[in-house]
Amino acid sequence: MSAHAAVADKTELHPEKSPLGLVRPDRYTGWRDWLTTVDHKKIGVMYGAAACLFFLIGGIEALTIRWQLAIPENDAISAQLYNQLFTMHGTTMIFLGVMPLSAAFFNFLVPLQIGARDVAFPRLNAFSLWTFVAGALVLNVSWLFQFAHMVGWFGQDLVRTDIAPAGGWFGYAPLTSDGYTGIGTDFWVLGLQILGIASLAASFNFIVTILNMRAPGMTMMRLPVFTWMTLITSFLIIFAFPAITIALAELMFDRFFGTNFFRVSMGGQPILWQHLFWVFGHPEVYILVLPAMGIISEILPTFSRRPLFGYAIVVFSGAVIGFLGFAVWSHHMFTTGLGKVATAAFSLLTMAIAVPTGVKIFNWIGTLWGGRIKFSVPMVFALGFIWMFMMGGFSGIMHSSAPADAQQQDSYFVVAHFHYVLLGGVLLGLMAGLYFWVPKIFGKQMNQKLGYWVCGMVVVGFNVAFFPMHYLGLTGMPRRTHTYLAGYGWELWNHVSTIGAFILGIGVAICFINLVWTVIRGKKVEDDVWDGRTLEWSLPSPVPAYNFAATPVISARDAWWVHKHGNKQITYMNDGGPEGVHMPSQSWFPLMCGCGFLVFGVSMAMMAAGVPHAGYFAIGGLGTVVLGIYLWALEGPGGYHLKTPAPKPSPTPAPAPEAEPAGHH
Amino acid sequence: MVSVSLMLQYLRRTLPWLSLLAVSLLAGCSFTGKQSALDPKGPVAQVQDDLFWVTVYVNCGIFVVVAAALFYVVVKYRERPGDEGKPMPPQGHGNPLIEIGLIAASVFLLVIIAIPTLKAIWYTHELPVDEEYYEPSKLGIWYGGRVDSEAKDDILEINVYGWQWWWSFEYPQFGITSANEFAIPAGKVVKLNLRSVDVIHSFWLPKIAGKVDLMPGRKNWMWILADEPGYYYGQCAEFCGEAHAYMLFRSEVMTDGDFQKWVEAYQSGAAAPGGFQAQPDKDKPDPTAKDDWMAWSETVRKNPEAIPGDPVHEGAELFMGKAQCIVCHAIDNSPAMGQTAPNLTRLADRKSLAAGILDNTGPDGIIDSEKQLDNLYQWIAHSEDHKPGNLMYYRADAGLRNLKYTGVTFGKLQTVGITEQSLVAAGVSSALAQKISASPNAPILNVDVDSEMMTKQQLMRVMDGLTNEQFSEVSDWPTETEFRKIAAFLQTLK
Repeated sequence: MSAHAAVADKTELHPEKSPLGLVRPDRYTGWRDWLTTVDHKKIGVMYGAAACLFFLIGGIEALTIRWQLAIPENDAISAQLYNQLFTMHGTTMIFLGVMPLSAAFFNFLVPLQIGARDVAFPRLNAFSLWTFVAGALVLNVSWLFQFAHMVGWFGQDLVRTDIAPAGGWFGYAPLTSDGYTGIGTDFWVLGLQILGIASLAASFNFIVTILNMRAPGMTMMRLPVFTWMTLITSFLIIFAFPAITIALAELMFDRFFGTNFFRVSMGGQPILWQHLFWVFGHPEVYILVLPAMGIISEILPTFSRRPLFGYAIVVFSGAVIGFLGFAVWSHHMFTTGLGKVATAAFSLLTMAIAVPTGVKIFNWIGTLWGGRIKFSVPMVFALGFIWMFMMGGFSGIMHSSAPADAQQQDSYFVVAHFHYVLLGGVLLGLMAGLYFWVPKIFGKQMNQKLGYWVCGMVVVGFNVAFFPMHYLGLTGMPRRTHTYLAGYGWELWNHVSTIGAFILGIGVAICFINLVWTVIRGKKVEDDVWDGRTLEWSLPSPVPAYNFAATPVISARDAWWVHKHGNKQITYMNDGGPEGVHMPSQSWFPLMCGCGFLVFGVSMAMMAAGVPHAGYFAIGGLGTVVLGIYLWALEGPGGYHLKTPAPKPSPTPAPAPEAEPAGHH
Repeated sequence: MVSVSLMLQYLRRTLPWLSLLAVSLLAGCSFTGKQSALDPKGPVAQVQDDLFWVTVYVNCGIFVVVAAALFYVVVKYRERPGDEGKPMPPQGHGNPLIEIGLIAASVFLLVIIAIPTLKAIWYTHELPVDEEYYEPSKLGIWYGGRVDSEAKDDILEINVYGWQWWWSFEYPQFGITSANEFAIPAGKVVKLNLRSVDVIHSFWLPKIAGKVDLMPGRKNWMWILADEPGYYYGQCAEFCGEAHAYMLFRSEVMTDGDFQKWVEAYQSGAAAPGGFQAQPDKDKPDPTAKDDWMAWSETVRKNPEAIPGDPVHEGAELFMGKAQCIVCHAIDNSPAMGQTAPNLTRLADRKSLAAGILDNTGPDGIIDSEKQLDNLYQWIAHSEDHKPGNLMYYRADAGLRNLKYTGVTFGKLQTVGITEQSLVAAGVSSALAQKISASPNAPILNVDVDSEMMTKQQLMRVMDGLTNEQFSEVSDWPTETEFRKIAAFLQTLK
């Protein structure tokens, strides 16, 4: 489109006007470049930074919870604040911690792994990011209002003091109806609704990218497993999120406009909320877990120097997990009076989902079997993942037996179970990914010695914190209780658990501090620091804006590994050429949409709180979003050309292994 | 890089200490705690516990095999010094036979769990009419002739109602209602009808049965059977709002004889204060407890001097009058017939107060009357300190808090040192402050401020500096002495 000649650096571009008559923000550097960027790598980094920030907030919430529970009948914090903390801890960790950190990896890695220059819709990608940020802020702004209330800005006698959400991350109606909770629930409903828009937009983007933008020769069965898991996760999101979107919309109508979806006195049905929520909520578990499984499936082969055992079965079992994930939601509702047939059906389906999960674990061990295992930091985390995830799987099988679950449901046993899956599993997986890909993202490496310490502290602290919770739950301690009476036999293990939580917290904090330090001061490392297997390792670190100077042509799974050690070379199409690589233009409008969503969300909650004229601001916010999308459409895609350096010579392939020629599939 | 042999050496050295630590910590593990699901005392909990252990054994079996395999490969196939230059390990992509074998093995292991699971689902979800203990559970068999003839073939039913944050136990076959503590006969099948009046709660009495939710708008039920007499602890297991952690309940499992006595005691209701008795007349030659209460309230109304001036009588008067307790509470036989708070008939027989958080018993497990009296006083006079959000204090239209702020006039506020300036300092507009001070005898919460929530809050803020004593001087809030009298009255409810 652009008639301009290719430039080596975008700051050399001439100012270009879009059809709107506005100058495109292509030439910016610094913070304006980050705000307007459409580069999937920068967007990934921002997702990651936001995720780390919210991990920190969610972690502080968790440690406050554990501090309160360290001794019986503690009054360190009020019941109300405790309820807000566990509500926001769950919501934050799931929607603002794990999901965006996974999204960070999706964004950064997927185009690189499939040999593409960006995602299919770069501006939509930026829109997803800023909408996510808006949703996250809507949720967390409630804390600011809460603190303002605590220091007395709103007077001491507000009728409802639950400004931060206090209805639980699962938001069960009718507790979340307007009769029982205040504007906290409005912040929560709107925040989640906005986050859902971000997730849906991002998922469509990744599905289109993965299906359409693969490099020549990158067939579906040559896709790196992480990309496969991204694809499956994206499908899960587009099928699961509409359920919660409907549930949230109904709850919002109940609260704002007086409908009776969930109001019992008007004939509403609270059970409807639970079905809608868990039809989303259970696939959500796999939305959180599958990316971590993908990461593990990249790291284990790299450090055991063997291809993934049973690639096709690992991919297929990921898809089966995703599919079955939609058929087990009612196991969250075994105690709601489903009746025996439904209870039996969901019990058996839940057991069935253990099979593809077990298959993955067998295949990971199979990958290690016969390899030459190098215990680098990402590998140590990945091995920790297998152990902890397996433990979480075991307690999951225990829950699947509905009568046994009648004792475990809503007790600390469940808290132990899903933290083994989501923290021992997902967090260890994501941290493995962090140690593995930070050298690619920033061209710098995190401190490896410290990495072993972090891993040790996280694994030890995690087990000390969460293993005793199995015992607490089985001996009758219900979850979501702000305190417990002495004399039930829960004192010792709650105390131990708190100590473990702080060890874990310190471990994660060290990791994050080291990460920030590395980004600022870390020392440069070579491009292919781990002897990697997939295409991203064939690129320089940090990766240039256009990713691939020339499009790679793929002829094997684990293409880069086979290129280096096997008998099938990657060849490059000469598409960079003298006219350079076409780059998409940057844009302000995705950010504008995000700002609109932020104003909309906060104003709606303010309207519920009775703040005068807030409704007009809400309309204004939504108007801003619509206007942003409209202008973005009128603006046109634009674009410019970047010069690429002369292609560097391929590294000399190492001699092929004697035992068996690599990449024979 | 951490060398594996070094690690093993280190482990060998620390293992004795670690195991000592583990043993001493395990000594802190008891499976028989008050609310332990691992200590089943009835067939439902027993079936659930048995199933739990089946899953544990199966999982332990899998764990041993998988963990051994994982440990083996990590040790055996680790990179050793000097391996760097060696050729790459074999690049195999998998083995379908192994995969299919492992899938088949997993399915087989799950079947081991699935079969008893299905049996237990049917067992716990249907009344056990085929079991040998069902027939003797019919009321006609063990409760003698004291039930209606149409109830003879029925088992005992209890309607359990969940409220934020307490429990009501209604026995429709006996016409009685208890709160937060309930009794059942040992060895009998009991059907619990689970209902909620507000949000979702969950009934969990771990030693007797796993939980079932109380869903508003749904009619859930469960059956339970307790093997032996004893005292059992339970609590709400579904997050239900601010004081969810304090929604406890207790169940006393009794012999048939004790249970019948318990029911009859409830049926006879609470005696009138201080043994006040109605005089027999020609209409009622044999006055009942209900007549005693009616005579008492007649006397209070028409001839108050005839009421003895002891704390119990005065407490009863306060309960029925100034303190407005009867708006929500019921005491069977008495004029108190409120339906939105715990039924207080035989309150003094209960071993706990405030849905289980205040314990009335001494070290021997028997009610300590001094402790009970203090608990009663603490609970009614300072309930907001003991149970956050509790509706006895916070209910806007009828609670104690309402009482605290009703009847406050500017004239009375002036007697405890509050001036027009202090109103303004608390954020009340000077125009409104002037208006309030102009009509010193009107209740200030009604002076033009009903719709203005913020203004109301500012006014309350002025008053929040007041002590309880000052409050009782300026408003309808009972004095400390009055609260103690009410407590003294409540202690006679048995």
